[in-house]
Amino acid sequence: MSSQQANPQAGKGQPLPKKEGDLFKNLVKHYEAKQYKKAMKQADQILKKFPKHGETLAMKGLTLYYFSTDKHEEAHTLVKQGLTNDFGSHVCWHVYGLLHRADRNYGEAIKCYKQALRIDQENIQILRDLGLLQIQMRDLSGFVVTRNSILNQKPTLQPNWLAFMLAKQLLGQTEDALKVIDIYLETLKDGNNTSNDSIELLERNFAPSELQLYKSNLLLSLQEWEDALSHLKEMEHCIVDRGAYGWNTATCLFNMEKYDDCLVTLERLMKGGRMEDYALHAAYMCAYLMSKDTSNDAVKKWWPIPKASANYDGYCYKGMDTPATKFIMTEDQSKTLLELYQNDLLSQYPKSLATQRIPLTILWQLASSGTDEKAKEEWSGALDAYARKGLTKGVPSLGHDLSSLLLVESDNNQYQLAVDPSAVRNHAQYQQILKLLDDYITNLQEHSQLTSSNEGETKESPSTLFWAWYCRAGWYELSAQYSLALADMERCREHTPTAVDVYELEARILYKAGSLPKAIETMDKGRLLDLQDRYMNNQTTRYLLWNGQPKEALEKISMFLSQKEGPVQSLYDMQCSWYELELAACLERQGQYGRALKQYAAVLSHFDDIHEDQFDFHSYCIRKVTLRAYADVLEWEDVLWNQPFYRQAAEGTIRIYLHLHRNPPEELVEPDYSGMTAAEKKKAKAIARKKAAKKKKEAAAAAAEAQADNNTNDKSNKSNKKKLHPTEKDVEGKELLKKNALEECKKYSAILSKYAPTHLSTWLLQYDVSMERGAGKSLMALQALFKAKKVATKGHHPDVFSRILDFCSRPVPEDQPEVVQQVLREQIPILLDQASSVSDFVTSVAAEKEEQNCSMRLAVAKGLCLYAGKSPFEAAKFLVAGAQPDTVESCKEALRVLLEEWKVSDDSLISEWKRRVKDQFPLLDGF
Amino acid sequence: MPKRLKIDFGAITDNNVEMLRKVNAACFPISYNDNFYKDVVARKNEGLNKFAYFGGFVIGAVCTRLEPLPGDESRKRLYIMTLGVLAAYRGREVGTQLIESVLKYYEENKNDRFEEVDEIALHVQISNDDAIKFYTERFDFVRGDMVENYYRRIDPPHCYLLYKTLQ
Repeated sequence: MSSQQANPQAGKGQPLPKKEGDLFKNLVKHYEAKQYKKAMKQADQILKKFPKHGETLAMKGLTLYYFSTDKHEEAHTLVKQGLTNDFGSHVCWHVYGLLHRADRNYGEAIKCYKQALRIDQENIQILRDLGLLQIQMRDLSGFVVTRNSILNQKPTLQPNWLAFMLAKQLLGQTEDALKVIDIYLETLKDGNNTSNDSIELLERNFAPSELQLYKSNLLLSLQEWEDALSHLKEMEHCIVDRGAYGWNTATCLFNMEKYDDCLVTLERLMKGGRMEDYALHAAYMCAYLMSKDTSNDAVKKWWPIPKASANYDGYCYKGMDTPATKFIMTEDQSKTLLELYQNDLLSQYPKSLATQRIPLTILWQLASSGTDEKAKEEWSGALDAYARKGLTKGVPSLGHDLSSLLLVESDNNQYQLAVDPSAVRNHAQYQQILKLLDDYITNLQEHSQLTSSNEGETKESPSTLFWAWYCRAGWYELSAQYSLALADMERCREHTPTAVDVYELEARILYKAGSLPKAIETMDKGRLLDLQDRYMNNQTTRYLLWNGQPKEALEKISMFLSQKEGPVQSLYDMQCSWYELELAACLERQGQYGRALKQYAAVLSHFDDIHEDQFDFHSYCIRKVTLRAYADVLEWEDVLWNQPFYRQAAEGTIRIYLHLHRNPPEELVEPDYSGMTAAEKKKAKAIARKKAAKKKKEAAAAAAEAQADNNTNDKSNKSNKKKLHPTEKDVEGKELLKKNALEECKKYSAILSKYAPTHLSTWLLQYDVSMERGAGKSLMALQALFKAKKVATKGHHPDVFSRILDFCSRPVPEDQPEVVQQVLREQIPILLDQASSVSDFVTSVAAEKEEQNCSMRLAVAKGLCLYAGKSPFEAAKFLVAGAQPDTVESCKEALRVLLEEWKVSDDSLISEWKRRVKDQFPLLDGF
Repeated sequence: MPKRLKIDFGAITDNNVEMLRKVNAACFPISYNDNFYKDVVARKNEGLNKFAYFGGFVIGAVCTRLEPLPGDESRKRLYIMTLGVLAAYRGREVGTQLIESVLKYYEENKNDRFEEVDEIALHVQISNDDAIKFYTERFDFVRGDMVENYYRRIDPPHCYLLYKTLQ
């Protein structure tokens, strides 16, 4: 608001007299200084004389908005009044825009700014505000135009150049962005530029370094390797981030096929203290292999790239992955790399953990893919040495570390982790490591040594045996052999009953074995051992929520929370999403939909806040030249709605609203009085009234209790009648329950379809929502099914399968346009894999496999019963004969269907099923 | 193999006193009441009450207190209430190191706050040969009189007083 204050217009172009003009200037000044009370005073003084002065009214409204949070409506009225009085004032429009922006109503705000700019085209303040909104809303083409006109007006300011460059790059016009940066740097070189905040080009400092690295990244993404390299060399003196400098240089050299130089650069990075960076090892491996054999083009695609979206060839490694654990190498390649590590790197960096671990993975690949007996022996020796070191040192994660070697070849010539317990159990390395652990344990028990009879060897310390059991328990857990795992845990607990680690792992295994109450008991014992262990506290909290004990859970987690604000509030303020999501799911299971929605809404609002927080970065990052980090933030915010926590909250919200749509709560439904006599009607209504009154009373009591719960730790809040915290408003979620359920479903399902299209649950829910919206949305449902099928990839997925059956068994809706019917008739056979009917489809899927996991088997069995004319008993036999227990939930569901839906009376079938489930989940109740 | 396990010492506090319960439950035939644990924590003296740690685990603990010397109320003695080491870690001088550290603490303070302390003592069940040997042979404790029916719930119920004069 700086430039317009010089010439305030007194309603329809009439300037205010000198005195009031000064008052207006003061008003703006105080507003900007956030001295709202003073600003209000100035406004009132002007309005005394000119009660209809539009700009003053508007400014007063805006000030009021910030001055008092409960007067937002009045603020809106004032601003609108001001605008009506002075339509031609850019100030009024600008203020109206700012008001909308404060309401986070960005679309409207942009419109207002644009209107203001129509009146005052060159107003830089409004342009800047507009730009902020455009980047926030990712109106990138608009953003470029705005930043361009700002730059044209004020080309001497560095941030204007950087913002324009960034705008170009975001729009995908990398070459233009590069031109902008070059032009700007050129103007600096001329020495004509006297502006203070310009980058001192020759200075070795953060800002110039970031700018040059940003330019370097642009060149890299254009794959201008020679230019990028010479630029890096030229600017070496001012780049302070040596890591980024080295990485960019190495990337250029690798792509220019100058492998020896590349290796030198990478070695420099290693010597610079980055030996534990697995990506650096991956890079070194690639460059080394290429330097030995330049003909192998496949290796070029193994080069590590910082993110999957990079514009050049490579692979984005995660965690401790390298080409050795990700790609299938030739025997020669493996041997070359092994030599490199054993003869060269290990002697140079004997203490580096990564350097010790990587040869193990190379040997693993050599041994598991080749037939070389010597390699197999060497691998066994290396594994033995690695495992012993971990056990002696007491590395709790040893089992998990070794489990990363349980790899299987996937379709695309890469390795992937074996996840399915039965696949794990049959994995050669699983067996091998299990045998190794068994031997260790026997030897340790017999003579406190890891080997069988090596007299000279020193005895192990007592904890080695403990860690061997611990490791083996984790190993059994991987293959879902819970009884064996628990036996080892028991041994650990007797050996060292003070080790918190045991209780944590044991609780997890108990839970997996089917007993949540026992898991909670054990976790709580571990928690008591060290009350300062936050992880144990949070795990106990989580388990309690799983078990439907929200009150106890809150008590536990409160131990780590500020007692001043009250636990519920501080959890919200800290955006403790995991807790809110677990609580929401817990309440959802208990049918407390209002409260559950309230928790989901809390998480959704955290994400709104995170999105809103971006605003601060738009101007700050450009000013501070943290361009690379800023670009990362923008990219991350673009996929914000794909974050797991957001998805969970949105999915939960959709699930509950779907349920509410299908089963509307009583108080929202008008009872059906038709067909009753007047007397009956009267009576029915009286009963309903009484019921409602009673309910109301109960609800009020419950609300009061909840309120009391919330305020136990914060008495002052009650007496002061301060502004209500978001967690204190509508505690029961009544307002949320009143919303239009289907509209809410639509809203969140649309967001997920757009931002989380690679997740199965997105499309399952999209299907469910579309089906609720009626036959008019058949094509939407169809599309969701195809997407779901694609995401689920391998074979059939039970949730997709049952929806396909549901969809295809419905008659094609004849009230729909012919085109729609046509599409449906064409596509349904594709969904059914060209089977002639739903019945045939189910029958053929049923014949596909002798055995499959319980969830899928149940879906097929249900299909047989519903669509293929099989009797419940036949379906039950089919289910029990071929279902492998996979999760506790699916096994319980199968039992429920057997007993309640199909009413199977054949005891031998039921007991057969119970026995099989019990074998897998030894602690499961009810089996 | 070095016989002596390299251990660290740590304080017994409100937050980890449950560990002491676990050690005691694993080591002693009698169970101590809540007041015992409350007192240990309340004393807040790491010199007299401490855990032995190995590899991050609590593997043993010693709890001692200052009490009036029986027969001479003006003098005091250091009384060892419990000394326990988890079975898996025995025979590696963990108990020795715990007692040594208490004695060292006494030595460091004998001229000021422990000026009135004359001896260090404990009661031990008459059947507990290992413990008697441990204190008498390793630390030159003297076996005193037998106290009959000292324990209520264990057999034999009698104990010896073991003590060592300090100054």
